[in-house]
Amino acid sequence: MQMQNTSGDNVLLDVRDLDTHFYGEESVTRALGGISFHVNRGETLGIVGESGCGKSVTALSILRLLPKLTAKTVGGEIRFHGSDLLKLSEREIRKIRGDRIAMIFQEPMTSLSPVHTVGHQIAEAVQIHTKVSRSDALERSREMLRLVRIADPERRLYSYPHEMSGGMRQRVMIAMALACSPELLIADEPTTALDVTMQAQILRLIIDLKQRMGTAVMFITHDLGVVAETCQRVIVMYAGRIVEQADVLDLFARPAHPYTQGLMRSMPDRRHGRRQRLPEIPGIVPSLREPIVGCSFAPRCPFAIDICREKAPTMRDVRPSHAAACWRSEEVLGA
Amino acid sequence: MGGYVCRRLISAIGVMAVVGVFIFLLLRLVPGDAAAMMAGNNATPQEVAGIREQLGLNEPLTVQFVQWALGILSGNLGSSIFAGLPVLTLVSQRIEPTISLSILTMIVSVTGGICFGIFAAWRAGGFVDRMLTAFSAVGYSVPVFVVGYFLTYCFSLGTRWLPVQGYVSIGQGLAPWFVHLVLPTVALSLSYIAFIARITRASMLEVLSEDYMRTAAAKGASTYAMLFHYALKNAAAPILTVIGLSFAYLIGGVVITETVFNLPGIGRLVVDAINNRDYPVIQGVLILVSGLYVLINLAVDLAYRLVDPRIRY
Amino acid sequence: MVFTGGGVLALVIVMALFAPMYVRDPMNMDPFKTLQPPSAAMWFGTDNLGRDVFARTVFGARLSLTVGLMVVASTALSGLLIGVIAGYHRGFDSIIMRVMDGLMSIPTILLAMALVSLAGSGLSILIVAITIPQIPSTARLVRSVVLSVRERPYVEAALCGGARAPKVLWRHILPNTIPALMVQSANICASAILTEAGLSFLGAGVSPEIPSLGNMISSSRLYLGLAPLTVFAPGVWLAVTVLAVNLLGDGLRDLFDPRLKRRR
Repeated sequence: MQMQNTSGDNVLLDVRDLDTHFYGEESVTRALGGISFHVNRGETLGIVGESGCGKSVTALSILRLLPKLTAKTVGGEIRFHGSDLLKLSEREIRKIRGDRIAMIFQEPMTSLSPVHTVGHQIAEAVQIHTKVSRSDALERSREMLRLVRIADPERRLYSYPHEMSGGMRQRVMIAMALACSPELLIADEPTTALDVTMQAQILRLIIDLKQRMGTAVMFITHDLGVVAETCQRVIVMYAGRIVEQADVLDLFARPAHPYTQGLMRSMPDRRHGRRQRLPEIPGIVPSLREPIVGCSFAPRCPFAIDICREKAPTMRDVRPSHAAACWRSEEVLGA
Repeated sequence: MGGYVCRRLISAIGVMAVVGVFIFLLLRLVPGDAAAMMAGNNATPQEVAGIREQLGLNEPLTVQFVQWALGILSGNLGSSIFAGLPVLTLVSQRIEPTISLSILTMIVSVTGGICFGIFAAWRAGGFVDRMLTAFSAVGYSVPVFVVGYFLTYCFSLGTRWLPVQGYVSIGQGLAPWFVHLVLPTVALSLSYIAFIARITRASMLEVLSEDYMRTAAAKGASTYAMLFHYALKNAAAPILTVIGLSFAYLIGGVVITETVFNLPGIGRLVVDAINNRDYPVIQGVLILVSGLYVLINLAVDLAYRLVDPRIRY
Repeated sequence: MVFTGGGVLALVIVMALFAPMYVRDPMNMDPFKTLQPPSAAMWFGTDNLGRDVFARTVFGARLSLTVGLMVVASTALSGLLIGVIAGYHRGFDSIIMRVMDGLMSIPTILLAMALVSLAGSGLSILIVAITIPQIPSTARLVRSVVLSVRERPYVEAALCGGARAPKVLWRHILPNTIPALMVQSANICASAILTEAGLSFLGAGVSPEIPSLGNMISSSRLYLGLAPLTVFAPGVWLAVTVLAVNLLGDGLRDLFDPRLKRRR
């Protein structure tokens, strides 16, 4: 398995062979089948894929926020500043959560406590990690609310989440996540639950703040459009594995994995503006409860040949800074 | 908010009116001549007539009710037939042990029940949780007098660690007062701890699976902060309701506990009144206690606003 | 849970039912054999009047179970009637529910005690006295079921189709109240048995010479140090009976509402 850019001090987070399982009543689901990637300082990394492909599990695995009873990361390592997050004690990982790695979630409607004021919830994030007085923490909340461009932050500080719209709540979530100036922000589908006009605003806000604060962002989304607008590098996931990894321009110009190609074809093309039936990828995502033999995409792949059904492909460079897990990347690129 | 308080107050007054009518009718409509029963088997007809006169039973029902209700509204709950004292005086003489026992029991069962419930929910299916299942099965099934005598047998008769019975006023010293109340409080608390813990557990379990708990974890909050600070406030409304409702059961428990441990409280007052068929006392205490129940539940309703800002009045 | 609870309960019921066939006369006093320790003839010894504690315990359980079942039957009937009227007839609803609220705010034991002391101590009066405080919760339960069922499409369809109200009640609404009512009945049975014991213990139940678990504890409590079994035998018997009823109730609830079970 070859990786690029893994050497040097530029790497902030280095994930290797991450393996996470979910335990059901009778079956084990291999939600992540040994994925490896890294995040550079200050960059924006996109993680794309359909729902259920393991994007969110990846994010939750990094911060060890998976439900304790039903999920477990059974292998791999997550290097952050040289130490393996998976080996930290509960107390040590708590010091990292929210302070150095922060996260925002998909549902702004349910991700805030309904019985605490917004200011309180942001201030709490500050107080957990720094020894400041209550009033200083509230002052920081006020500043953060202003930063995420919430109108009338003075009043909103004492509002409850149910008094706010979805977009405003997501701004609050962002304020909360960035309150301690983390080095990495994991944004798990932050705009999916919002309406379209709000989506663009929130995206712009995240990118803006990222640049201002120098935070690296891991952007999890199913929307290639969002990736194109925000990210520098992209990881494409399918069925619990990474299938392609490239700079964003490269990926859009020359997808080297048939799944990525399929994803791009099924994007509505805004330029042409005419009505056409979108091509879809035939077949369904394989169940992760049974072991997958060969390439997990093979049953749906127009390029599949015998070897694809027998042996799982590993990531290999197709060009500099562009890797794909496909036996036939060259043919895919040529097509 | 103000409108809601008004509406809630009016409905509480309505409930109290129903209670008043019911308790009033209880005395008049139940088969048998109340005056004759009160006078006892050996009473002369003159004595019965005297009691009837004293109770005002010769007046028409409506007149009786109006007199009685006006009396209550002006703070006159009537007078004991036997002691000859106003019911309020009797109650105030007996209130201290009852209040002491009730408050101690409430403190013990609310803190105990909530902590127990929280830990059971935190490790659902774990040891504490299974303990709670067993504990609540026992707490619901073993009546307070059985627990009371069991504790007396073990800790007073057996080891002589604690006094057997009786009550020492708080004015005579905090330590003796407390020592005399330990066993009654424990005996009475068991079922409330079980009751409150079960509701706390259910409510917490629901809250713990909410998205905002994950947000709190992502902030780096400690387990303690997550459970007691974050989840508990979200889970508080049902717990509050149960605490309010359990007050009615608490009174029944207090009556029995006072008998078991021979505490000279309101419970003994009522039991004695019932044995003596002292109806004004029964009536007066019933009204007082029901009024207290209605008031406490009114307070609980208003306290919802404090724990859940989403409730709009 | 259904099986444990049901099994123990069945055992207690059978023992109580056939009590006259295998125990001594529970009323028989023997002044020369007071406060005897347990023996082969008298398993739990004798009480302060020389009566067989085991016999009295079994007969006491007989009374407890009778009261429990009678209270359940009368509460279910009256609760059903009141609940259906309240749920079906908007006009009566608010009045009935206010009365129920009022009834609920009088503490159960005090209310029952007052009723018994006024009307005299007989078994039927005892049952009525324990039933009345139980009615509000059952009526509320039935009412809520009726209210939710009458909104369901098939009930509306039946009504639109010209079915008459009594028929709809009988065919569609009553069957829906049964599961909730059965679970509630177990709770009522347990609490009725406890209330009866409590009333007897306080001297407001059946008359003292009749063997009832509460009476036994009350009359033996002075001898707790000398003959603990005279207090604990009826106490434990009572607790086991109530526990069995409660377990049965919990089991029934899980049976009727699998959703709850998964969460527990």
